[in-house]
Amino acid sequence: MKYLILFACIAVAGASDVSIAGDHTNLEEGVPVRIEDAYPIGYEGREVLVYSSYERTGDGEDRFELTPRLEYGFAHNWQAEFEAPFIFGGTDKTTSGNVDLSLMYNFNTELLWVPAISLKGTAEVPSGIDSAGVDTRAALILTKTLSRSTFFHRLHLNLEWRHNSSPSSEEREDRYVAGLGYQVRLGPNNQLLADVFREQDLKKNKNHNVAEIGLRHQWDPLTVLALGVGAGFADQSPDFRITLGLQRALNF
Amino acid sequence: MHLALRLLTICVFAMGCSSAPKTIQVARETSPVESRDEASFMRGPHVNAFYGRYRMPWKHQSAIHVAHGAAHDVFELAHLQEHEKTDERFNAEMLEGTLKHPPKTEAEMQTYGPYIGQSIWQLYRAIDWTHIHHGATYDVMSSDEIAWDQKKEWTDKTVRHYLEKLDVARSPAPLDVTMRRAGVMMKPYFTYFRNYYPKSNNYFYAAHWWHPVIYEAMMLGGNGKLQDEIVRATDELTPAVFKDPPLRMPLSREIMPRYAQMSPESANIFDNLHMLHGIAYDIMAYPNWSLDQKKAELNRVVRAMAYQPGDEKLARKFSIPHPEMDPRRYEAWMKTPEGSMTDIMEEMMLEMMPMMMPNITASQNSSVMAQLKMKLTPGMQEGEIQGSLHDALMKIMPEIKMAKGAMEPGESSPEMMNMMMAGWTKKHGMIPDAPMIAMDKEPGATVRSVALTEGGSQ
Repeated sequence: MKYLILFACIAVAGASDVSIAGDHTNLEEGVPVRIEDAYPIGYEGREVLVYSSYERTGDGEDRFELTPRLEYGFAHNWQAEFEAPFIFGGTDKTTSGNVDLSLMYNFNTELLWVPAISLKGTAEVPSGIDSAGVDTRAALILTKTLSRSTFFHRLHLNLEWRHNSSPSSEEREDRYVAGLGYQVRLGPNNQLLADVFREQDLKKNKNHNVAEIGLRHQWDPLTVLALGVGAGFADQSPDFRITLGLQRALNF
Repeated sequence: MHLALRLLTICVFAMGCSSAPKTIQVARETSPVESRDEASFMRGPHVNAFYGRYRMPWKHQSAIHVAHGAAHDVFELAHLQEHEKTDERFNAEMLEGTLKHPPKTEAEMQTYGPYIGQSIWQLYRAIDWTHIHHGATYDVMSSDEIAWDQKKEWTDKTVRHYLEKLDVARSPAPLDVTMRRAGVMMKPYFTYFRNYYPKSNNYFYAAHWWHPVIYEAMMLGGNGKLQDEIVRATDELTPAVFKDPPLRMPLSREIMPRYAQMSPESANIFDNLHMLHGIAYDIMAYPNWSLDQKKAELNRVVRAMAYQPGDEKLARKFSIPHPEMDPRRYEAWMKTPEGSMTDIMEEMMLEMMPMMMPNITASQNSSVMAQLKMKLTPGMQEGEIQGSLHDALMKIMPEIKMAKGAMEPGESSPEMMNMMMAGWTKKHGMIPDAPMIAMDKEPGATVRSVALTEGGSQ
């Protein structure tokens, strides 16, 4: 628990000297659940996101993760991301400290019968623990609003293929992650989120499933705070996970 | 020199006039799939100042934007036969949301009007982008990190950011010009919203009183404590005005004359946005077009009222009827259906008459103008003909000449628009520019420096 509190403090302190954000309805991976929506940050938007999570793994280990991320809308409908997840606790720390560089492109705004469609590519630079070779990911992200009238509901689908460029004998070379998410507005300041994910683990013959629920609260016009909880089910899934997140835009 | 500037203005105006029909034809969409194309706000020391300094006014603004978002879906999905019930309910809910439970954070249109967000995205892009500009300009005026004599420079920066970063910016030309470019007056939907949903319509008239008077309060207050006092005193009128709203859309030139002199571009952008809201609600309320037809028409209007290069040169082409108005007072002249907005409509009707009604008699003329006046007044008046302004005029003068196809969704009459623009040039093209306002002396600065001196000597 002391790690969780520590990470929450770091997350808040790390963002306290910056200002501005406001991308409340656009969902970001990990803030506070894993599902991501298909809309990128606006052109010339700059945001910092920090989220920290505690997970009780399926093997009974404590796993803490702290992830800072920068997002930049470098062109219309494009988003660049720089992220470095750090892993702590009595668990396998392989890949901790790797730097992920991502590009996301959104093809369209949704229509009544056509979802918004985005593709996202990520290169994982092996700067962290026990990492070798540049691993890559490719994701298809769909978002569809369901609403008529003033209600606001959305469904999201994330499908990701991950390629391990230098697998050891115990590791998979290629694996997939699939997630389905739901989003609903609760009043003007809150978004309730729920998702379910299935992921093939890096280790061969291991898979896990997680269901999560989370709340994104717009703290001020430009800051979003997030809290999520999740639980694993079947296979080698984690027992539970708690995530705290903060998202703020940069005023420079 | 002065004459040369005026001639330049006329030339720019004439170019804008002749290019308007081309713009409409070239920009017609061919694919139903559109890109999202959003942009971020302008960075600077002003960011978040309005929220930080004026929490309740900020909340009122947020509530108004929630109402705008919601109105699209509500009036599109409502049945016209139930207009009284829908009107009553929407107005009551929005008054409650504005006066009793205003939200602490801003709303994008799609969050409260998702159905239209998936159908007519260009409309929401135009609205959300201009709301961001609203936020930035309030921030500039609220920020005590921007000295009073730099307010105009920073406001101009926000205008440039707004015009340059997205292709849906509203024009900085006066509403007189953009209304003529839009050519909506004789469309079959025009006045539907104000005639059939008067309470909801008047809620938005009150909202369009609120935005300008807050700017004007800031203009009167300077950067210091006096600004706090005047903004709060002005914002405290909000409940009274929303319960007894104006009966026309107040224009910037009327109720924020000082701000309109400081930044006519920004003032006109807001008038143009507020009129776009009204046109959108007319189209949503109109029961005889499909959603695709409404999309075609709204996309046309969004383009027609958009920024065209050179519009800045026209920005000061308006007169200021109440230069000494005080935003802390809700005066009788602010409430009446008569005002600058109505003047624009009447001028346009007179400009169209020779083409539409070449053989009009004096009595028909007075009937037309009487129906126009009634149609422009919210609700239905005694003697007012049902339907839109178009319906009313067709009943008075069935032989009225309309350009072929121009009444169809997404279409317009370039000839009619050119005739109206020529009329505007004749009447207003040569009027003196609205004067610049001096920003070198900060209102309240003397009071503030005395207070600071006294505070410092204690």
